[in-house]
Amino acid sequence: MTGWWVVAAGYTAAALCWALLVMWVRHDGSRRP
Amino acid sequence: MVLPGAASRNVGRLLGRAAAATAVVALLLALVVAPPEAVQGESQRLMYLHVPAAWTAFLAFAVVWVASAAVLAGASPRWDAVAQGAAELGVAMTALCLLEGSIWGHAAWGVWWAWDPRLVTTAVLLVTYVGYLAVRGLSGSASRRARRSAVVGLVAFALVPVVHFSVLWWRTLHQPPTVLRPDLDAPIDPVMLAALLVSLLAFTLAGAWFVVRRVDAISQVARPSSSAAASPRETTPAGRGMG
Repeated sequence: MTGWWVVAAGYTAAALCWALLVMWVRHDGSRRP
Repeated sequence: MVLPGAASRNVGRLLGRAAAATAVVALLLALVVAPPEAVQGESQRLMYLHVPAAWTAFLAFAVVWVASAAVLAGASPRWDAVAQGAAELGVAMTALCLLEGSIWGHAAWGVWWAWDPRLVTTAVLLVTYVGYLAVRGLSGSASRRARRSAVVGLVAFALVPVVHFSVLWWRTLHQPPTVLRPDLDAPIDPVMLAALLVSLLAFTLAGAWFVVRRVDAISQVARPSSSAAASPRETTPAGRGMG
């Protein structure tokens, strides 16, 4: 795995991580009374 | 972070928009404007994620330390929610930092993992703060749980300088600091430095957005059961950690 494939893997991982954090915030927010 | 509900939601909205706009600029700088590194080529572009993830994790753990000190000093219970939100962010960012480092390491060193001081201390940091979140989930009254977690939050931060200085204290594969050098003379292309700084800003704003939103959500969920704080069997969602 070299060059832009490495970049694509890294940026996809970061996007998934932040998407998870956004979903985590929304999930717990939805439990508001 | 310890703002009243309505103000907190407005600040959260503002931070979210600022983070999204900064992230777009950061991506343009990192993927289009910044040149490829002379030796590593395109794979060096992972620096614009790896370094900000590490920075945001350190900053989040510093916030956990401050919030923990505030809890032990008897400040508002909202500080306990700040500690939880910041610890969750720190754990996610440490995991992301290790993941980016692993992908970059495979391209640069030829291995996904090495038993290197920087890598090992970072992994220990991750496990420690996962443990902190587990401690938050232990039973007990809300105030006792907050004080217990605060002690762990204060002690755990001692690992952060160990991780930062590990590349100077021990022989390591990992490069020493490029920007945060003692002489402040960063040997980096100005465009690369600009991309890195904007990326750092984007991560910081997004992290602040996350913590503000989490504090708001945790406080809202915890409030109905706050009247039962004296009960030793009480378990509010605020103490559930990542679960």
